[in-house]
Amino acid sequence: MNTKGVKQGLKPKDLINVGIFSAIYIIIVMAAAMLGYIPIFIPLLVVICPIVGGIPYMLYMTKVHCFGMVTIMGIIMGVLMGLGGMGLYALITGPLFGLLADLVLKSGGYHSPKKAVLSHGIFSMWLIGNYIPIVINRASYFDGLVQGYGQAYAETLMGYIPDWSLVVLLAGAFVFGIVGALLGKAIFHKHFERAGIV
Amino acid sequence: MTSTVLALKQQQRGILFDPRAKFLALIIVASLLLSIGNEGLMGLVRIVLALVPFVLLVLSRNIKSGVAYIFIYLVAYGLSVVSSMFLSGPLLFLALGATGIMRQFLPGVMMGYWFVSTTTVSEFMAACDRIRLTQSIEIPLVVMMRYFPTIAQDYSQISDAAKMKALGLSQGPITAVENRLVPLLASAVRGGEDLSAAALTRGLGAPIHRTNICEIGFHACDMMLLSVCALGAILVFLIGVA
Repeated sequence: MNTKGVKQGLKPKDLINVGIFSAIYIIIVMAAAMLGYIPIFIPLLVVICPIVGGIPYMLYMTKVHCFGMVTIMGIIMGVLMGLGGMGLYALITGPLFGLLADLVLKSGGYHSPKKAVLSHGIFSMWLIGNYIPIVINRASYFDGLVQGYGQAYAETLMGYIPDWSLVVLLAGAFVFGIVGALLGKAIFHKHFERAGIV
Repeated sequence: MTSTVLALKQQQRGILFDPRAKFLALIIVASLLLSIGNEGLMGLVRIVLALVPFVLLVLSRNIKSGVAYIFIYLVAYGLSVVSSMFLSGPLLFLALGATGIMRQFLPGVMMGYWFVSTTTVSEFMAACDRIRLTQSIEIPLVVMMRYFPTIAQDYSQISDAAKMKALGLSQGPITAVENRLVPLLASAVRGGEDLSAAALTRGLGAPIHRTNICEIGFHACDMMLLSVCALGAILVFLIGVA
């Protein structure tokens, strides 16, 4: 798929833009994710990360003109999460939701602002990959928490993230992805269009 | 523009590892950190693993970062031990959470830092060519590596400017974020155009194969690095089974 992409429409300039916006996106999202240092806020990250991520994403949309750019961004997010020790599930969810977001953009011909907002909602769902280990390996994750942080702490955190919460988190990522995209669009109108940067 | 990511001169770089060996070591350490627990023997292994990035940073003559890292790690470790003895309730939660995440992720992050700070863009591209990575992944990764230091530099200049105009948190957090984020994004857009022009001039994305004068290859030090990593992985596996 990727090698074909180069021939079909992905020019080096597009790939450079993928790199630049992936770098900015990951830095902004990770800066927001620092709140996760206080572990009770971990579930809240599906609210904060998509909201701040919407700002660079909407600017990125002005550079996306062909299929594959958002997918590659998803792949890169997965690779970075895998290397950063967040578990390997983001390696699946990143490309998956990137691809879905790309398909939504394609259906709008890469020009529809509404589709761009929707695609950020879908793209933001890649974050769920970072929560999957908590649920799938619940027993061993719990043991690890007990050993590392103590019984009471582990029970509290686990109480915050029951199995069904994965669905809620996924929906939350989508909803707040859309909120973030709308915020991004507002900032975009306020600053970038008027200043003639894009 | 400097060709190395953090502008290290050749003679200051210490032992030169092959980028592929470095990447493999990064993957092995990251996955080991992910798969082992905190208690007993595994707790000991975890501490040994935490020393790996320190040793590598020192070998690469980046002693300042190595020492800073090991200092922060040890402080986090000490705090977690002390706080579990003296604190209780929500305060203990906060302390254990913050130090625990530090202990969990800092070694992996420092491995990543070691990789990025010791690999030049040319070396990285040569390695990507050797393993036949598709250009669609290679170019974004290279650009990201090249672009992270630029973001850091831009950001520090932007916050200097914001300070000079007394734009701080007093305007409220949203305005404060907006004041910093918007210039950063604006410079990213411009920087992107500059970088594209520069890269295209150097023949990136030309239909023919690009050559690279950077010599990479596996040497004795790479073998050492990889065998240490492999040994560690086997050891962890055996302990896990036993």
